Amino acid sequence: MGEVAVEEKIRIFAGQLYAASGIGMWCFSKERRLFYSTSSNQQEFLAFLELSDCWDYIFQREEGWEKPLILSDSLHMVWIAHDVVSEAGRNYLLLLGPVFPSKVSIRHIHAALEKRESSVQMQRQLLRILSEVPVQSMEVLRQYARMLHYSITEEMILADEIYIQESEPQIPQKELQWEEKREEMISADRMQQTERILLNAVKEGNPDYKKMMREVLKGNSAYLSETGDALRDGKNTLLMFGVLCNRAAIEGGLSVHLAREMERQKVQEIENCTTVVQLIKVHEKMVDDYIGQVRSVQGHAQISKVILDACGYIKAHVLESPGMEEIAAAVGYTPYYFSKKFYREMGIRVTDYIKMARVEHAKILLLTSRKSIQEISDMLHFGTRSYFGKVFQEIVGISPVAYREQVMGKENG
Amino acid sequence: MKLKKNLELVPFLKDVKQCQADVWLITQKKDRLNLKSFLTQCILVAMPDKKSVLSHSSLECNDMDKERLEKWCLL
Repeated sequence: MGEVAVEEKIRIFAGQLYAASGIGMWCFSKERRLFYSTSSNQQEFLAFLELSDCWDYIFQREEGWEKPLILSDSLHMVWIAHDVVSEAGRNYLLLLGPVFPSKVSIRHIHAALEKRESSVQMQRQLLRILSEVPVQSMEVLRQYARMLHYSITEEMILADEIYIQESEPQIPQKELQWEEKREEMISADRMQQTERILLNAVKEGNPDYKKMMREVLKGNSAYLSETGDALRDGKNTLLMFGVLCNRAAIEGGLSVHLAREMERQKVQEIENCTTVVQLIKVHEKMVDDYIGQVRSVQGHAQISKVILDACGYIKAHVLESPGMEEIAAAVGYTPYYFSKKFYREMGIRVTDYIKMARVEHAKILLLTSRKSIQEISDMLHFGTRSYFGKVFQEIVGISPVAYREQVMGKENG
Repeated sequence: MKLKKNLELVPFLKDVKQCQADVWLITQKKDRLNLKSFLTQCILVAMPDKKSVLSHSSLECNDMDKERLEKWCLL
């Protein structure tokens, strides 16, 4: 393979990529002049790229991109960039794209267009062109990025060596306002194998999770929600995963207080993302942070298996509102000794822990369903809507309604 | 302000991006488009008859931005 010129290897890769996925390859000079492209709708896609913030982000860096860079514009069209130095010493830049990371992105844009004061006739052509943008999951795109790097350098790189765009798009996310309600669609059965590995790694405080991931990664991580907005779907999926990470960390020995604090921070980090590619970084950092905290706690583990089992029981039966006697019996203790032991190890009372578990579940329902506050309150046995609101406010710091609006509606504002 | 005929759309829209306030394009059919929006820019790029639409449209912006955009407009 070493005898084949870089240009030839790239040409072969471009052909294979287009045949397999419809994704185009673009080759630019360092002066931003287009040499060639295998993409359809070249004129339009090139203009979209030049008008997006991706364009300056790619070309403004002096030292170039010696490893792949994944970036996206404010319509969530994703591009992969890579610098090339040919054997003849010529510098140029390769781009793969555009690609939507979710099949529903176009639907979301369609909804955003419907709110504009422009005629359907004007919008129709844009929708036609966007409908021709290939759709691939971010995991597959990362594989393509690694394949591109290999075609250029013959070096293997890991998925976490790929650069991720860090700057935020200049155009605010209210561009893609869409007020359709979210469907209820959380399902534990859909948890991917990779997520299970990550969650086990968090629970065990195992820093070698990346190695395990490499051995099993199949490159298919679909979003768990389909609102039509790729960024929202990515955020929802990560929020759900964050909740699972948080539980795994608690099961791994992290105190509930610290876990709650971390969860708040992670929700903020997720919601602050303005592009789908930024979510990749937040995802990796979240797993690393939880594993780091669990490792730190496990260095001086203080929570017994009995109490961890009790925590697990409470969470597993959160919709049934288990009482103290039931929980104590489940782990073989009398209520009196169990409550003392629980407080000594966890630093909070059992009743408070149950409240927190119910609020955690309420947060998931608020984010992933369109159930009313009253329905959620009833499901979690809070008694009255006002008591649910009071408890939620105490633990989360804002009311359930404000939480739903803040988290789900943030990008609309 | 009326736009010049045959203006180069992408460089024009790049200039619009640099404007401080919103810049509006009012078409002959009374469509009102905010040219600072990336989505609107994409709509324009995708329109097959964009040259004709632009030449029959007018531009609305504040005085500071007028200076930046006047090279694209008929005096």
